[in-house]
Amino acid sequence: MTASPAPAADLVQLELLYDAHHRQAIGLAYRILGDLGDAEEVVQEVFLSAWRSGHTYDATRGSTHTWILSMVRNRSIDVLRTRKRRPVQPLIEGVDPPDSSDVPAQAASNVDAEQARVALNSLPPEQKQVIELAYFGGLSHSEIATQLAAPIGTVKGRIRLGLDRLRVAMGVQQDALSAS
Amino acid sequence: MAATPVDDHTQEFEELAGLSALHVLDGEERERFDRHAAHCERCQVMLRLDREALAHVSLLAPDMDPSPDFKARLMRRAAQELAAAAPTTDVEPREPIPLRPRPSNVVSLWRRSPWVNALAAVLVLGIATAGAITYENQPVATAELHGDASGRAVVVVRRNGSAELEMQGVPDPGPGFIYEAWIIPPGKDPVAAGTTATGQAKVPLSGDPRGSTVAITKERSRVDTPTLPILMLGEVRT
Repeated sequence: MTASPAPAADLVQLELLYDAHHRQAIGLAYRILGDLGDAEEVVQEVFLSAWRSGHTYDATRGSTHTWILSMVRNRSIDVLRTRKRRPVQPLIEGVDPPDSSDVPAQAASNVDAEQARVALNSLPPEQKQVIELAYFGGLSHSEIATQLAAPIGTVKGRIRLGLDRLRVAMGVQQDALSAS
Repeated sequence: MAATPVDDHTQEFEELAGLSALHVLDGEERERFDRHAAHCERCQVMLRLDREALAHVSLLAPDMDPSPDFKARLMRRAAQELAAAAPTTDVEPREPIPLRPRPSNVVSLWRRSPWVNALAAVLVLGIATAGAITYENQPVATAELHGDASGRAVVVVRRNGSAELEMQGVPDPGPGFIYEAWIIPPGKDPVAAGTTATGQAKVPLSGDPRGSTVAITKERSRVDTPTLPILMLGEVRT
């Protein structure tokens, strides 16, 4: 579904949003897709989608950055999958607009890139590897299992354990899980 | 209080929650997990927290510049959408007026009076000037300032070289104080660039901040050197 621009939306808001966040958005999409043209298509759709939904630039919300990057990441994975299914199809055709329903609405904004790097590097290598293959490579657990010549169950378990450690290392509040 | 798993909850659903958070779950497994998570509070919480942790992984992506015309393409497309969404007046369509040949004894308007030509020239010049002003006012660089103060502070540099600091929602500095903006070129001392008595203001900056850091301090009056700690700052890239 494509929403109309919100009444308050204007080009300045889009420009502010773009200027603050576009470089890493492009870098992320390029890292996943490996093609600048495709990366720009994805990033353009994400910024337009954010702008249409009235998501305005707000310097006080560091979470806006991770929200946009999460949108870019998921959208890039969708494009990767479309490529795999129909490699000769145009990039955008047949792919839904970016969907923000499965990106975190409020990722804590007090984590910077260095902290994230430290957190990811704190994982055992086999857990870090599967999370990176899934996150940046968009590989499913079965594809990772094939690539690593490991049982699917092992890959699933590594991902689960890796995410559990990552939450702790990133300082994600997880009281809601701890007692059960 | 801890989220409660439902009776059919198994370790496998927690593994699927991770895959769902990674956005790599599809097909039958995704449907099965979604059905389960719809009524399993623990899986819902796990999914949310996994996504939150993964969102930070995106910060590891490198910065990269797009094609030189990428921003222009994006803005053009947005402008087209705005134009298409603009409300139209609800007027009955009228029958088109048929064209008819001009009578031979009617002199063309442009041949009738030199004043008409002058007026047309002025109009064209006015439109061109307005266009040039709009072009010159386009932002070419922006930078958000961060720091201890709440609210929003953004530096906007326009094509004509003018720059301003837009502050929104920053608490007023309090009685007897003002906010002072500083431009700090690399390796040099801060240069006073403007002041405001409120946290809701547009402060013209006396200088081009591109390539420099812009900072805000609270001061008792306008000064040439900061006397109190920096509240917010950010780098304005060229």
